[in-house]
Amino acid sequence: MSLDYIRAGTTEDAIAALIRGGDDAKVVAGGTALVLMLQEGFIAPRYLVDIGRIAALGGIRDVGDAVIIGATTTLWQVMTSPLVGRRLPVLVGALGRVATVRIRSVATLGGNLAHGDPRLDPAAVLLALDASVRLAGPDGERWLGLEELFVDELTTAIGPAELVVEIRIPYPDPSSRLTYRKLVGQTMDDYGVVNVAARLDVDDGRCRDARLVLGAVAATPIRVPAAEAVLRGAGIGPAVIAQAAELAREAADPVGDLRGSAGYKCDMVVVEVRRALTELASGPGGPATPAGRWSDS
Amino acid sequence: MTRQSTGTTVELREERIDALDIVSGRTRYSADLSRPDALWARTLRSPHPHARIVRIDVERATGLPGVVAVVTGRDFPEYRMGRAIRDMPILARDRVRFVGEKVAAVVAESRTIAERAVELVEVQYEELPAVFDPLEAMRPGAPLLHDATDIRAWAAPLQVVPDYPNGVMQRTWGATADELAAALESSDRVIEHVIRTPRQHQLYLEPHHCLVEVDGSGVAHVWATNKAPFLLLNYLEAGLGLERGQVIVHPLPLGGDFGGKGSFMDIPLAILLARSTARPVRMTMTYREELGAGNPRHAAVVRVVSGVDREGRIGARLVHAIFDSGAYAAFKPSPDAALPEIQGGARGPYDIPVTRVLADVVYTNTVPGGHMRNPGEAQTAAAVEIHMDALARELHLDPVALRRRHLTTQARLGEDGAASEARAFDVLDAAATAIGWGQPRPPGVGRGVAVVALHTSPGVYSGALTLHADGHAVVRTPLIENGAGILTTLRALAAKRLHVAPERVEIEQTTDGFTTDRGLGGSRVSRLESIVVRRLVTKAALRLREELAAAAILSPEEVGIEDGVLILPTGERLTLPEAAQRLEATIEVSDVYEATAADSVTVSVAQAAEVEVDRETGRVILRRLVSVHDVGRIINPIAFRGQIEGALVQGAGYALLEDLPLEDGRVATLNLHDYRIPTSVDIPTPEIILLPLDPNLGVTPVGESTPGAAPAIVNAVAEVVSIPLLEFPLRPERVRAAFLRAGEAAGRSAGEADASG
Ligand SMILES: Cc1cc2nc3c(=O)[nH]c(=O)nc-3n(C[C@H](O)[C@H](O)[C@H](O)COP(=O)(O)OP(=O)(O)OC[C@H]3O[C@@H](n4cnc5c(N)ncnc54)[C@H](O)[C@@H]3O)c2cc1C
Repeated sequence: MSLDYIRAGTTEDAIAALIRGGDDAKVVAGGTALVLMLQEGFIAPRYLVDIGRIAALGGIRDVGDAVIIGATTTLWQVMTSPLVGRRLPVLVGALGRVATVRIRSVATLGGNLAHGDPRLDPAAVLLALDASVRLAGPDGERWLGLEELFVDELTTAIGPAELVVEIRIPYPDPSSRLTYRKLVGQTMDDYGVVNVAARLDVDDGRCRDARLVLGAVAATPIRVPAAEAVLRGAGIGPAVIAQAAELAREAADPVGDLRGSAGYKCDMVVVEVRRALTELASGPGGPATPAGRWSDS
Repeated sequence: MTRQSTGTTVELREERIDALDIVSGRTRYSADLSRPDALWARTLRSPHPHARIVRIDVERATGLPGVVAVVTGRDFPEYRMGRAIRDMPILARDRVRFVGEKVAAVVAESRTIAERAVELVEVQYEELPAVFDPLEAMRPGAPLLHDATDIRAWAAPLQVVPDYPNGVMQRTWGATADELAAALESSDRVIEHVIRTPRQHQLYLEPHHCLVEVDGSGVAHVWATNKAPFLLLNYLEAGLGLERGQVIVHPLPLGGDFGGKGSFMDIPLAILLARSTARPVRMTMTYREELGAGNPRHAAVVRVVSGVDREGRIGARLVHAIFDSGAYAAFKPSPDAALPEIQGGARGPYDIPVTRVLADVVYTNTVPGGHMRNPGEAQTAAAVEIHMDALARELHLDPVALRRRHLTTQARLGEDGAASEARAFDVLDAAATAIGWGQPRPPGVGRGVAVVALHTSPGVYSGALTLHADGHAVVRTPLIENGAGILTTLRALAAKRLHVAPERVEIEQTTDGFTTDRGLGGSRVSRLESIVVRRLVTKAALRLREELAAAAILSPEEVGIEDGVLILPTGERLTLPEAAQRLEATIEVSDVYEATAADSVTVSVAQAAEVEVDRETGRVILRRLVSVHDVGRIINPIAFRGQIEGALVQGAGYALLEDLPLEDGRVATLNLHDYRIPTSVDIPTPEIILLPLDPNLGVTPVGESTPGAAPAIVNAVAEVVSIPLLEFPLRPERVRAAFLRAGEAAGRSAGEADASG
C-alpha cells in the first residue's frame, strides 16, 4: 500500500487535494500527532497533504482587539512571540508545559486544536480565552468557537476537506485574571492528569465574569458553566471557591488510566480548581502574570 | 564518632574513543547492517496469558505475495532455550504462557509484508486459568505453568526445585530455620514488613535486533544486540544442539544494555529461519514488543523480619524474597536459577548475629524476567533499607543511628588480598551530613538514606596484546561496547601499563582466536580487565626480555623488568613498545584469566535523597540526590561519573515511576508515552561524593553502585507521609492514598487517646 505525500503550495491546492483524496486523505502539519497515529495503526491514509509550506497559514499578527495566529505557526514560535508574551502571558505559560522543546519546535497550534485530544494544553487555555478558528473548505470559509470545534475525543467539527487557517484570540480585558495549571503525575513532559484554565474578570473585588475550563477529564476540554455561574457576581472567597470546585468535580467525567483512577482524577479536579481560583482571588494575578512553567509544584 | 570524609570532584579527562563515530552517525549498530537478499521476519504473539493452542491456520498468511515462509512451533524439533535453565520454546507448541509469547513467525521480502502476513495467521486458543501473582502461584490449587517433572528435568546444576506449585528454585543462606526461630524467640520484639518491588524495563534506546546469515558451509553468522558473544554461543549450541564453530557471533556495539542485552531473544529463531529459507534473516523488536515481551527486572515480594532487644539492637534477621520469574526462567544465567547478589543485598553492610536469607523464584503467567542493573540486589537491598527506616520509626530511633549501630566493622579485602578498614560508617555519615540529616525540614520536605554493600563477581576473561615493530600496540578483546565506555577504559588501562599515550593503543574487537569470555556484567569487567591487561603486559615483557637478551647476546636475567619497563645492563630503560621497535619485531601474547572469589572486592556505598511531597496530589518532587562512594582507582573519570549519574536516574525512576503493570495479564504500558522514565527536568543535579581514594582496593565497582537510590527516595517520602511505604513506584495516587491512610491512623489514635483520657 502506497502513501502519497503531497506538498501543497496554497490553501486552495490543499483543499483540492483533500477533496480528491476523500476519506483517504489526511492533513499533516507538524506531524507529531499524525505520525504516532500512523504508527499505532489508528489511521491508514493514502494521501498526506502537507500544509507546512503554505505561506498564508503562518505568522502572528495584531488586529487591535485580538491576535491572529496562522495555523501552521509552531508552538515555539507562538510562545516566543513578543506580542503574545505581552498580551497573553497565560498562553505562553501553557505552551511552555507542552511536552518537550523538541515537540514544541515542530508541533503547530492549528494541528494541536485539530487533533482534538482532550488533554492538550493549548486547547484548554484557548477555550478559557474565548478563542475561535477560521476554517476554509470546499464551501468557503467560516468561523467556529472552540466550544463548537471540540465534538468528542479525537473528533472535531472540521469537515473532511476543511483546514484550520488561523486562530483568533481576543485580548483579555484588563480586569481579567488568568491562570493555567497542569498537574502532571509522572514526568514534567507528560500529559496532565488534570488541566485547569481559569479566568476571572474582577471589578472591585467582585467577579464580573468567569471561565472555568477543565482538560483531560472528559472527552473534550470542557467549560463548567455551573461553576462559572456561582462565580459570576460573587465575591471570591474560600466558600465560593469550594463550591465551584465541587461543581467542577461533578462536571468531570474522567477515564481511569495509568495516570490515575477516575476517582483520583475527580479528587484532583477539586484540588486544582481550588488552587487555580485561590491564586486568582488572592493575587494581583492580572493578565500579565504568566502561569509558571512549574506551577504544579 | 563521625569520621571526616572529603568530597572529591572527578574532573573530566579522557574522551570516549567511540564518541565521534557515535555522534556523527558512523557507528554501525546491528539494525544498520544488512546482507544481500536479506528477508525480514516478524512474529505473532499470544494475546492470552495462558491458553492451549487448538489450531493454527497459516494458509492466508502463506498466500500473501512476498511471503517466503510461515512457521509454527510444530515445524521444528522441540528445542528448548535458556541461559542456565532451558525451559523456553523457540515458538510455543501447544500452550502459551504469557501475553507476548511467540506463536508463529512469518518470513517475507519486506518488513511491511511480514507485518501484514502475521495478522493473517489464524490461531484458535482455548483459554486456561492464569496466575499473575507469585504468592498466589505458590498456593496449592494454583494453575500450573509447567509439569513438575519437566521443571526438574530442565534444572540447572545448582538449582533446587521446591515442592510447592510453580516453584522454579529455592535457596537459603546463613542461619538455619531453627537458629533463626530461636533467635527471634529470644528477642524482645519482632517487627516485620512485606515490601513489593515493581517490574522495571531497562529502556535502552536500541531495541533487540538480529541479523543471521548461514554461509555455504552451514555456519550461522550472527550480528545481534547481545553483550556477551561467548555466553551467547553456549546458549545457542546447547539449545539448538550445535557444535562449536557452527555459529559465529560478530561483535557489535550496543545502544544501551543495563543488563538487558544478555539474553538470546529472537536469535535462535532467526537462525532456524535463515537455515530453512537459505537466505539471511533480520528480526527487530518494536518498542511495544520490548515493553510487553522483553526481559525486564523481576518483580519481587520481600518479607523482612527483625528480632530486636530492649536496647534496639537487632539480634535476628530474616530476609525472604520471592521473585516473580514470569512464564519461563530461561533468561536467568545463574547455575542455581536465582539472581545474583540476593544474599549481598539482603545482608547489606550489617553485622547481625543471626541472619537467614531465603529466596524463592516462582513461575507466573507474566513476561519472563531477565537481568537489569543489580539483579537480585535491587529488590532485596531496597526492601531491607525500607525496612530499616520503618523499623527505626517503630522503635522511635533515628534511622541513621539504627543503621550505624549495626554497620559492619569488618575489614575489606582489596587487590592481592590487601586488607583495609571498613568504610561503611564513612559513606553513611557523609551521605547523612550532605543531605542535612537532622536539620529542620520545611513543610512537605522529607529526607532518606540507604546504605548498601557491593561485591564484584568473578568470571573468565580473554585478551591479546600485539606490540608492532613500528611501536604501536593493539589490544584485541571480545568485549562488547554497550555504551558504558569499556573500550576506552581498556585502552586507558593498556596505555598506563605500557607507559604510552592512549592514542598509541588501538583496540580491536573480535571473537577470532578466543574461545571464552564472560562478557559484560556484574560491575566486574573493569576490575578483571585490569588484571588481564597486567598479565598481558607481564607476558609481553618476558617475551621481549628474551628477545632483547638473545639479540644482545645476554642472558635474560641480565635484563631487568620494573613496572612493565625493561632495564638493560647499561641502565637504559625501554618501554615495551620501544623494545619492540628496537628489535624491529612484532610480538603477540594472549591470556585467559579465570578470576576467583579472591579477585572480588567489597565496598559500601550510601545514597541520600531529599523530596518535596504535595500532600493533596501525592506528587513527589525530587529535590536532591546524594551518592557517596568508597573507591579504589578511577580509570576513566567520564565513564565513572556517567555510570553513577545514570544509575541514580534509573534508581529514581524505579522509586517513583517505572513499572510494567498488568491488566488481565497484559502489560499496560506498551509505549513510551505510558512507560515514563525521568527526564533531565525531573532530576536534580546528582551530588556525587567520593571518600578519599583507597588504591589498596584496586578497581572498584561503579556500574551498579547506587542500589540505595530507590530506597533512599522511598524513605524520604515516607518521612513526610509518616507511615511506612512498602510498595513502589510512588506514583502520585499511591502517595496520596498513603496520606489518607496516615490521616485515618492519626485520627484513630487521636480517638483512642480521647477515649482513654
Ligand atoms: C511525545 C509527545 C508528547 C506530547 N505532549 C503533549 C503535552 O504535554 N501537551 C500537549 O498539549 N500536547 C502534547 N503533545 C501533542 C502535540 O501538542 C500535538 O501532537 C501537536 O500540537 C499537533 O500538532 P502538529 O502540527 O504536529 O499536528 P499533526 O500531527 O500534523 O496533525 C494532528 C492532526 O490534526 C490534523 N491537522 C493538522 N493541522 C491541521 C489544520 N491546519 N487543519 C485541519 N487539520 C489539521 C491532522 O490531519 C491530524 O489529524 C505531545 C505529542 C508528542 C508526540
